[in-house]
Amino acid sequence: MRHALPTGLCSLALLLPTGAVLASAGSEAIDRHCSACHQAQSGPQSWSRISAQRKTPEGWDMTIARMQTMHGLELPQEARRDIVKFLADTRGLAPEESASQRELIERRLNRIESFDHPSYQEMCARCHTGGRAQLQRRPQEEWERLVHFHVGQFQTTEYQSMARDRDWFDLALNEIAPWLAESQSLENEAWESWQQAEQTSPEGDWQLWGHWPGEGDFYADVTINTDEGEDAYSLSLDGAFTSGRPLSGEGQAIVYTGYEWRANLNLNGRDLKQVLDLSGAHPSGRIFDDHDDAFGMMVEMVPHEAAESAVLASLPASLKAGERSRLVLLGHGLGEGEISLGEGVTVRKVIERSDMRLVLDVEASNDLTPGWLAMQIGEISAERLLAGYRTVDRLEVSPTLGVARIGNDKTPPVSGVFTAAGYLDGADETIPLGQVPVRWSVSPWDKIAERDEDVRFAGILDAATGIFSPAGAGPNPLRQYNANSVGNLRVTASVVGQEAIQDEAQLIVTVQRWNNPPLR
Amino acid sequence: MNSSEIKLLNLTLMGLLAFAAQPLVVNAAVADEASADEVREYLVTMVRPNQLYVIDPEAQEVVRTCDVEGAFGSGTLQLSPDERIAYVLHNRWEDVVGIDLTSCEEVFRASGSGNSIRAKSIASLAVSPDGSRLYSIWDRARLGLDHYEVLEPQLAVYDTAAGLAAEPLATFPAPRQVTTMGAAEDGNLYLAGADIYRVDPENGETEIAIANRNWDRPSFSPPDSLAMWSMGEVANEFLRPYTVAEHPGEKNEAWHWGISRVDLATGETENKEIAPFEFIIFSMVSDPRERDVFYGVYTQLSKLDARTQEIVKVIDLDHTYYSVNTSYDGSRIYLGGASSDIAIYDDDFNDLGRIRLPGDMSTATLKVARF
Ligand code: HEC
Ligand code: HEC
Repeated sequence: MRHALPTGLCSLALLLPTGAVLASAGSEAIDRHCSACHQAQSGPQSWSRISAQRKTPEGWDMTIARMQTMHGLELPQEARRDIVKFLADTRGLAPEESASQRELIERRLNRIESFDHPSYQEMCARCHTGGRAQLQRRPQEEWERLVHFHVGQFQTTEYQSMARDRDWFDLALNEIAPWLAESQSLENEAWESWQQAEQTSPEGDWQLWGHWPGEGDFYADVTINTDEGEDAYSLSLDGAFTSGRPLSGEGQAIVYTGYEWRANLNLNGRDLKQVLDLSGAHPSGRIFDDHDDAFGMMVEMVPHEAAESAVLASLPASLKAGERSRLVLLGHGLGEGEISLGEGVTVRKVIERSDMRLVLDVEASNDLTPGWLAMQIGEISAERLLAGYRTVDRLEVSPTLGVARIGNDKTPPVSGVFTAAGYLDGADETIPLGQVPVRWSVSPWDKIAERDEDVRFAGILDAATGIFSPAGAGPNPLRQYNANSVGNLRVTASVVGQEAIQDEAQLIVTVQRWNNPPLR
Repeated sequence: MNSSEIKLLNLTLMGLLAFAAQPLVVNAAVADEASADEVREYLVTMVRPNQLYVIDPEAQEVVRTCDVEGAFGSGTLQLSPDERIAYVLHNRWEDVVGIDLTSCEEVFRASGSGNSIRAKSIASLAVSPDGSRLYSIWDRARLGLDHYEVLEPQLAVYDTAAGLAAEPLATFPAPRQVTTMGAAEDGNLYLAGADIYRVDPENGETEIAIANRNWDRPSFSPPDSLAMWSMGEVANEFLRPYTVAEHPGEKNEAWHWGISRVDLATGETENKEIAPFEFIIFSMVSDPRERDVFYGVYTQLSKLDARTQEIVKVIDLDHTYYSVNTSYDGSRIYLGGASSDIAIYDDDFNDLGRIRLPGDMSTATLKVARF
């Protein structure tokens, strides 16, 4: 949410000294490694080009990588880290500024972008996401220079499809650059006030939860300690899936710009990355596989200590009539008091109980009334957290369009990961049931996919989990033209026991990407 | 063939080309029993990493390979009027190199880059009909210490006798987005850009010869064309295929292949739809015997007839080819580019064989030369 400020005032604010600027490892490294080409300018810690842009830590890292690959910069790994840290801290994005593009930062790539400009998509979002530029702030001159860089470096830019049909260079300079300068200016109040805001440390105890593809809902206690290095932390996780299977792990993290948490984790033996936005009361983000970014889970995190008692999450989000299952409730102040889960639900056993967590063995009766189950834990009530159902009214598969990639040892495959959420369509309300049990199947998307036997060649969809494992890369001698094992598939989920309740998605299985930058 | 005979032949050919509008047609029967002074037809192309190949399509064998110093790219080729010198766009699209096909000698080299300017040409090469001038269009960017500045493209006119460090005789501002070029016998240059431009290389004056992006055809979408391949020497024409939608967005929407064409002998221009658009074609040439019949190539080889507006024949190929050409008598079709084999078909698409090369031709042109 950007607040309109008279631009004069804005730039004035930036001109005011914000206190003595101390030399840091990052700024010293810029002086040493960058200033031969990017001249120091008047003003504290200011270098040509560098100081006229703001971007995410990934954005800075990618620019610096380009300085290495294209301009012959030689940079020790440590200096690169220091520079990224320094630039992301001093020339980063405020939480409001990155909010609309969290999916890109979190590598949720199976989505369709849309923009507030008639030609931006075709002009700027066909080689990489349009979000890449949305995650930057620059004055008009710097947006123009970005256009010059594109055409100067990649001469074929203006000759490609969706460029050769228009005056690409002219449009980029005279329509796109001014629009970006206007909507994503270097200076604004969001950034000003974020820089003034007091920064809080994530050190302490937290509880985290999410849904692990193919395994189910999980929760974990997270302990975060400071580590050696600026804004560096170590963390350990100790938790379980709702099935009872344990989940544990550890990792290292760095916080950039006061809220951009980036961690390397190892969870139950699997190496994963974690991106969190720490700026809100409930940090949230995603844990994912760096090489197989479709494989990931949205997570939320709350501190152990909280002023207010509340139930914050129910795993799962719904109970089926006639079934006995485990239910995990997460929140604060859950340690004491009577537990009531609404009409028709009986607590058979309390498996674990603490202030933050209840692990219960519950049974939903056959004649349970479909709808919200009003729950009461001592003094705490939660009316719309847990639902009961007999049959699912509607199913929604997401993503609606998935892109999987065939792979090999050098470029690992990218999976297709689908989930199916159930709904009760009431007269005046739609009640989400969360992920309900479904069976997955795959069929050709169209006639061409049928003729080319894409289902046979492109890979395998796990009927229970909705996870698609693509075939190996390379020419397939069994196919016409020795084509790669690509395909165009229809992925269908149907509710177990209610085969007619279905939804489907398209899955394009395509070739590897050779270049996998952190911001696509 | 000894060198004095080559020179003699060369002069004869020069004369023929200078005065006769029609290209020389090699009689296939005569070519078969070619004696020492017979004109033979060769295929010329560039192969990765940096070899120019001269191939005898009749014998289906490589006659000569010439190393061309520098990195591959784009491999766009144009021939001198005597067809003995191939000018190749080389060194990552930054140099034009002239190679004598009979000796592999490097006779010309020019680069648009230098003085902090990086210049690349996107397939824009042409040779004047008398062979004395080479034209190229350079897309230029000034590489500053900390930023790039894209400059106006430049049409550069070179003296083909200027040797191995040729500097342009003249330069003129050129439109952006120009790819292939053709030089007509009347001295004009034709440029495939947003429109087909006619340029007087004496003074750089530029006008629209065939409107494409700026055409005024209310029931048609603007055309889309990918023109990267500089053939047309056999029919002596400058041809750019395009795809277009008629009545776009309406019930009767129809997609077509069309062509913009300049007859390089007469300077006559035409623009018309020739057949329905059913598959992608990367490059196209006309049949030298019937210039309203066109051959197109990509994953298919196709024959389109503008007279009937029909796709006459299509076959699937074993892989993609980018560059199509024909023999001067029109009886054979040559496919090159993309990978590492040249395919030969007859005009009824019977497979006449493959010539395997040690590297990929990639974006290189497949030219037909006679000497
Ligand atoms: C022809 C494909 C192509 C098109 C079209 C394109 N880009 Fe890019 N862009 C790239 C590539 C490749 C890079 C990565 C360069 C590198 O390696 O850092 C890039 C990088 C970027 C970056 C990151 C630069 C940095 O260092 O911070 C931004 C921002 C960007 N593009 C914005 C745009 C905008 C805005 C447009 C439309 C005017 C656009 N791009 C159109 C290919 C394209
Ligand atoms: C050898 C010279 C050289 C060095 C050293 C160098 N750069 Fe650059 N930098 C360039 C050039 C040239 C450009 C313009 C072309 C481009 O954008 O890649 C540029 C552009 C940039 C830009 C603007 C990119 C954009 O997307 O508009 C930034 C930011 C930048 N450099 C940062 C750095 C940093 C940080 C360092 C040190 C870690 C560095 N550069 C070191 C030459 C250099």
